[in-house]
Amino acid sequence: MGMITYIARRIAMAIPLIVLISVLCFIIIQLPPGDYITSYSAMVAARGGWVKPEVLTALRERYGLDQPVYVQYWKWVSGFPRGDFGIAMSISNTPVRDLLAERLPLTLILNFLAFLFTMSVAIPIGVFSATHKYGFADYLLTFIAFLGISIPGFVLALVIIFMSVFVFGSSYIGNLFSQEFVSAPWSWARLLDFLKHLPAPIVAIGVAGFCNSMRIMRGNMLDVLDQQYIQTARAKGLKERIVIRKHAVRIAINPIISRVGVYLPEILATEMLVSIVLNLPTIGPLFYQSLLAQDMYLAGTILLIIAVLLVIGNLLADIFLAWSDPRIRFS
Amino acid sequence: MNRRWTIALVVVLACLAAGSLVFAGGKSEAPGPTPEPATAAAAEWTEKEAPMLHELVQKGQLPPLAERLPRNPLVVKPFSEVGRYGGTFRRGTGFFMADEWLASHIDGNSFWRFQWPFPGSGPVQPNLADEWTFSADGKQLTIHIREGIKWSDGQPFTIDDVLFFLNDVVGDENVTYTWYHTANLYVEGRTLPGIQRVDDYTIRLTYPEPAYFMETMYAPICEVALPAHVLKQHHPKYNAASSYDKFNEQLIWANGRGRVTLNAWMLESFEADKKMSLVRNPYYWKVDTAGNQLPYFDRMDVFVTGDRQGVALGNATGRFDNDAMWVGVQHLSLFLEEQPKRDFTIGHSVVGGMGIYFNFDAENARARRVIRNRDFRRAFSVAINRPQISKAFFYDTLMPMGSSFSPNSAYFEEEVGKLYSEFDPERAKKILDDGGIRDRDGDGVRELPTGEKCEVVWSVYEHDLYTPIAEIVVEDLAKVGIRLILDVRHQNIILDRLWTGQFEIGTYDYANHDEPLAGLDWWIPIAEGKPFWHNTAGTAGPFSSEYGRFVELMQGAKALPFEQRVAAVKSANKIMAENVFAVHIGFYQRPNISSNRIGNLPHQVTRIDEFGSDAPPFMYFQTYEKYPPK
Repeated sequence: MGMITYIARRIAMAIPLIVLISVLCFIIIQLPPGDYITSYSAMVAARGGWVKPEVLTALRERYGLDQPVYVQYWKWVSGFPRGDFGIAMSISNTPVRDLLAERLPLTLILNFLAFLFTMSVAIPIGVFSATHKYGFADYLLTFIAFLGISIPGFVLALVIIFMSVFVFGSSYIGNLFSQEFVSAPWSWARLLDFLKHLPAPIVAIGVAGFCNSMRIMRGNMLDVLDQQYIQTARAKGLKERIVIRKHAVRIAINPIISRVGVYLPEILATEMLVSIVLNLPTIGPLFYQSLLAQDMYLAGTILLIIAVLLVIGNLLADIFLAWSDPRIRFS
Repeated sequence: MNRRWTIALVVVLACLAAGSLVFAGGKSEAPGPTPEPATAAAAEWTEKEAPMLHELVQKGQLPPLAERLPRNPLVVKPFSEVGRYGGTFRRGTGFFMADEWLASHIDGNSFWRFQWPFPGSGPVQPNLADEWTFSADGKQLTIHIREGIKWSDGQPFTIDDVLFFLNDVVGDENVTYTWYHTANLYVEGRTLPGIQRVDDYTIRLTYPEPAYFMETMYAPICEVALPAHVLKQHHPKYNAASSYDKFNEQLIWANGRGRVTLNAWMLESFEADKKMSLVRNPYYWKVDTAGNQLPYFDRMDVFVTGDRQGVALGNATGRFDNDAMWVGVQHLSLFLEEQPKRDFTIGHSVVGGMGIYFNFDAENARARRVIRNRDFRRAFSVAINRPQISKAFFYDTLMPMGSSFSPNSAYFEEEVGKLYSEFDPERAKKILDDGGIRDRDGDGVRELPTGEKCEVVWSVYEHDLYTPIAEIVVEDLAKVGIRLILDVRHQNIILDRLWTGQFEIGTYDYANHDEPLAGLDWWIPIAEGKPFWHNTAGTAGPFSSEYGRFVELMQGAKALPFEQRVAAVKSANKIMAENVFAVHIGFYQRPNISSNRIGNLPHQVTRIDEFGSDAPPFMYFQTYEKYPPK
């Protein structure tokens, strides 16, 4: 019962939070001077053309950009129940929903896989490093970890592009799908193509996080291994393997899990940066473009989605923590 | 606990496996739609139309070629040789810009078109129009379009489609139509010339002034007609049940209007953030010199990559076939490195570099007097170490140039272009000394004979190239005794100051030099506040008699027929070069990249920004596939 109430309570708290976030997002998007029409006419001017002022006024009216902010906000928000998030003026007036329909799942999948990659590599290696403290392997792994932490994600992404394409001759870089599959419906072939494109982004996104988590895991393990109950477990005659896995790791992993909520924005931000560099069809590049073009419905919706993802992510992390650590549930 | 480890292990192994697939470097198999069959068999193809169309004709689904072509199709001489049918032309774009980009970068058809591949090399050529005449006073233009052209859906193209476009789209205030260069149709403000329908294929336009220059102005317009049979029913003027909102929606090329076109390919599918596919227009009205109906390529696909680097990467690795717009000098080293291993050619177009504009109406009286001194300006230009800038920033491809119109234009003369462009600090000092501009107080900065110190503020915006180049120029000028104070800020702030005349010296692209008559307000006071670098010229008069003469020549040039126009502008160009109205660092070679599998693709092209984009220089409709992509 405690679990259900806990979840229900958290969800109830999240809803007004998301509403507040939507208002903030919209205000933030509107803050820079000008609007989509100013960036549109600047773009036309840069191409050597010229837009008549009457056309600009007409366009502004058409998109509702001449209305006061709260009217524009209401126009945007009132479409939500219908699943209408406005139109992307800078992308041929495509409805925002259509643009996000495929990108959002891909973003989630990519982030999730990157997270899994990070954890599944970081934790075992962190454990290994701790149990072989000050050995050669430990020093080597620590060195690699610091290297990974210092290299920015986008630099790594660029290096990966270069190595993959120009050294190894791979053609699976620069999108999540090959040209034949970009617009094709889902099929096994498309899935396989998608998987072939995944390693590069996942490594680029995951490296920084994995190095970080590895160091933290190592630190936690070292703390835990000094504890008395570990000594007791050993004294009881348990195999070292069981001592480590069943007793030490389970406790040492706690701080990492509790930090997942904090970790999520990092991974999302890194994914956005890496996606921009690698030109992946996820939310990152779209967000960047929409900000440059001051395309407010698109930018606002994406910002809102990111915020909502983080809220939900935190919620899930808290729930998971509550499940794995009974102490929290019953507090 | 065991299970968790197993899962983790499985995930890691899966990633490693996939990773090894990547680094094994395989090509992606194509179990999806296969590209067109190899064009080898087409070598024996004797029909004058593409195999895919011939098939439809034999099935009775398409009229035979003779009925699809107009009475006198446009005969196009291919760039190198007669090509073969088949294939898909693949291109990349950072993103799809507004609607007008889409079509204009594939094919564009106005009444006439520029000489090709060098627009400046002669007068315009027939395109949709096969004949046109000016009245004796030049104020009436009668245009006759080819008879028998059909839209891509088979419906006849008549002058009513042109009239619909002019009167009900361009001439209708409530219609939002912002395609490039449509503004060239206006006489002044928002008025169109007088329009008169003469017959089914002829139109007469009447202008207040002699309109010979309309040949140049109309050539780059992407389209001069719309399919009335498709669109009229949505126009509120003809259908009271419709609305302007609906009509404006229908006008959007990407929404489906692109399916009915006069261009080489018609729209097949469009996904704004992914890909655009076009398929050949069975009614295209151009043939090559052997009578084969163009285009050669069956399809064209344009993929969205997200940014410039993606396009450069795609072209370098052979995923795309050609690009001139997104790739730039910054990609040259990558292309040069990859060229031996790959199958492409690096071409170039000559584009203007950095311009340094003097503000003859600078607010600061001292600076203004310094700027208005011709010796100062001449010395300024000669003191700049262009060779060093060329090596440092342009891979040594910079063509030093003085204050002159572009080599791409019909108005260029080499000796004129070279004036005051050679790097010679001694000459600069001599010019200044001879002009009485010396350093009288020993602080290293010269003063005019009347005492004004040669110290000017230079407004430059943050730019990869321009900011470091400016720093070099400041040093160069300091060596001859001129002090420039750099004011570097964000582009929006600097540009705002430039356009409102609040600067002393300012930097921007050396623009509007390929066809200055199309951007006259950049050079002479034909509108208020113009030109931005001498904005009182219209009211208070020219700053010098030479500039006054320049204005006269340029203003009158538009009303003259081609040869006289060229002569007038050449004279104006000479005045400008001798008086150094603005400093130009030089023209440089802007690289473009083309796959070797595409035939008839010129490598040295002219990308005239004032006049559109890639389609004119490359004439995609006459390119063909030599071999399919690997």
